Amino acid sequence: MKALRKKLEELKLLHRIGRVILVLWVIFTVVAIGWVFCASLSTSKEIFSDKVLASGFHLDNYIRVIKLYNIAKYFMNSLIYTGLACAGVIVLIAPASYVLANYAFKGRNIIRSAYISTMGIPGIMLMIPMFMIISKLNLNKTPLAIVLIYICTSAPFTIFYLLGFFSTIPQSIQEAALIDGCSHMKAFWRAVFPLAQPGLITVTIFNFISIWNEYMWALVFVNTERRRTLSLGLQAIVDGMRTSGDWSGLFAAVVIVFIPTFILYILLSEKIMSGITGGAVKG
Amino acid sequence: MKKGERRMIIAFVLPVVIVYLIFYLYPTVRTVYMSFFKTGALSSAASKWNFVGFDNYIELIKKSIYLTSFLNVFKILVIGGIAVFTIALFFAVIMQDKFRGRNFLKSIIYLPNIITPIALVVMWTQYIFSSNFGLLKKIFTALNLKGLAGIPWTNPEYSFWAMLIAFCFGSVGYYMIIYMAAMEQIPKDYYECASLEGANKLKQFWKITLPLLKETTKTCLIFWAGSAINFFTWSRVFNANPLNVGTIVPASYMYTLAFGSAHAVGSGSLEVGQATAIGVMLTLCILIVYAVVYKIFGKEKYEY
Repeated sequence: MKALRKKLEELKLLHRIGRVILVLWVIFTVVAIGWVFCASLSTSKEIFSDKVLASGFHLDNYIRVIKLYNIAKYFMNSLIYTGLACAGVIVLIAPASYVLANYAFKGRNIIRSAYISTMGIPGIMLMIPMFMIISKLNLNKTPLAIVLIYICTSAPFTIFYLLGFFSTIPQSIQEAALIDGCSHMKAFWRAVFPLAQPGLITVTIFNFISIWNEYMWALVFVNTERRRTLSLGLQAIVDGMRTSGDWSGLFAAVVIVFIPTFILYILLSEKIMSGITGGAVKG
Repeated sequence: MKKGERRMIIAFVLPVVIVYLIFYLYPTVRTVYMSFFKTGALSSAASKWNFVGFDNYIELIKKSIYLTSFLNVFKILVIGGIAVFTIALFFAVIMQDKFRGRNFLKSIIYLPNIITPIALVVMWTQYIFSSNFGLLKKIFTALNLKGLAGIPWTNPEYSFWAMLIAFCFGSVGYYMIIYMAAMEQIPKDYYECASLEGANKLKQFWKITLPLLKETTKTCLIFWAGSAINFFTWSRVFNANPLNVGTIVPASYMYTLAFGSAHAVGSGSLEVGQATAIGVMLTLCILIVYAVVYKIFGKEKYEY
């Protein structure tokens, strides 16, 4: 009995140590991100002499970055590409997932397994032929190319997520709309689609974050002065760092890139947390 | 099946079939096909390609940078995987106690997952790993660990480990959250029953929690393998030279062979055929890892 109690106490201790490690881990993250915020408001000299914020807030870093490095333009580019791709993927995938989830027809399982198989294909494997197709269509370095690419790369995840979601929407809703005289397609858009908002919003949050942060495809298709995304613009600043030495500007740019997804995360973290586990738990 | 219904099915499903054919199937087949040709640069016409059999693959094996790149991915997959899954599982267990501030800790640990890798790389290389005012240096100095404080993380010989630490640090949150949700689904009476029979908590973890997490672990491993083998952005930007041996991975090397690189020293001439051969090898790697995971974890599920 005594040995057992001792063991239990050790275990409690283990939990306590675990909690301390957890808290230290979080402090580390907060300090690192907090320092980047502070550095973005300091001068480059202060950053180098390890005295961030010594002379108060320098909001002019942000103004300089926006003017000098075209960051505002890149921000708009990212917003346009991400917004259009998020909308496009919903228009394309929502109806398809609904049909794939609720109607039995020939080829349904083939389509499902085809999309599951895309998990085994590295994105870079598709890149060279895609580059050739896009070049042949004269779409290279155009917004249309990158939006189409993002719609295609987001398709598999969106299908998996929405398949599960649409199978929970009762078919009687579609039937009710049919009785009211809608055609099948109209019934979907008028009756089922609006009811699916919660699932569509969650999947769009995930698509937004991953497209906003995407780098590889943007590097191939829109890495020009005018068409760059924020990630590419930030990397261009990093590359220019060795000559410009504008450290505070660099950190200000990091904050600008980080802010949109961060705000989304603060507002919607509960939805994001439950969305992550939606597909993964219990296989 | 009514006519309207059939029309809807076709109209709704046809676009995703077309996307699959054009964006996934055709490029995959094309890449495999191209890997057997000597092609030169991207712009060269298909009529000028020379069929060379497995020459691209053989030439690649002779290059040490190619072997290094695969070794790096292997290390990310195995060493990084062990680290990430151990920490994620450990954190998830600790998080099962409903203490105050738990949700806050959870969201901070997940936070790196929503930040673009480029910004994270700047944070790690310019601040945390900095040898002047870096966070790690300060922590180790405060703990009086002079040896660790002096590590020049940003030097090429440490860049692999620096990159791995930074990448894994951010990945833990994702797997932790999945494990937390999975653990919450395990019925509480299993543990009560085990307690009554005299099994202590540690034993309960090994005999109840872990076996019931089998399915979740399988899914997570598949995800992890995907992200390790698709590793590109971190490798590309972690070091100023994308061909640095510490941080090179196959995807990044493949990119350099196909598209070139403004600041890669000694990248040589563009060889698209060889690049596609790397893509094929990467795909084989993913398939092998999936096969191994399914073999180890088997098909039978515990129902609960």
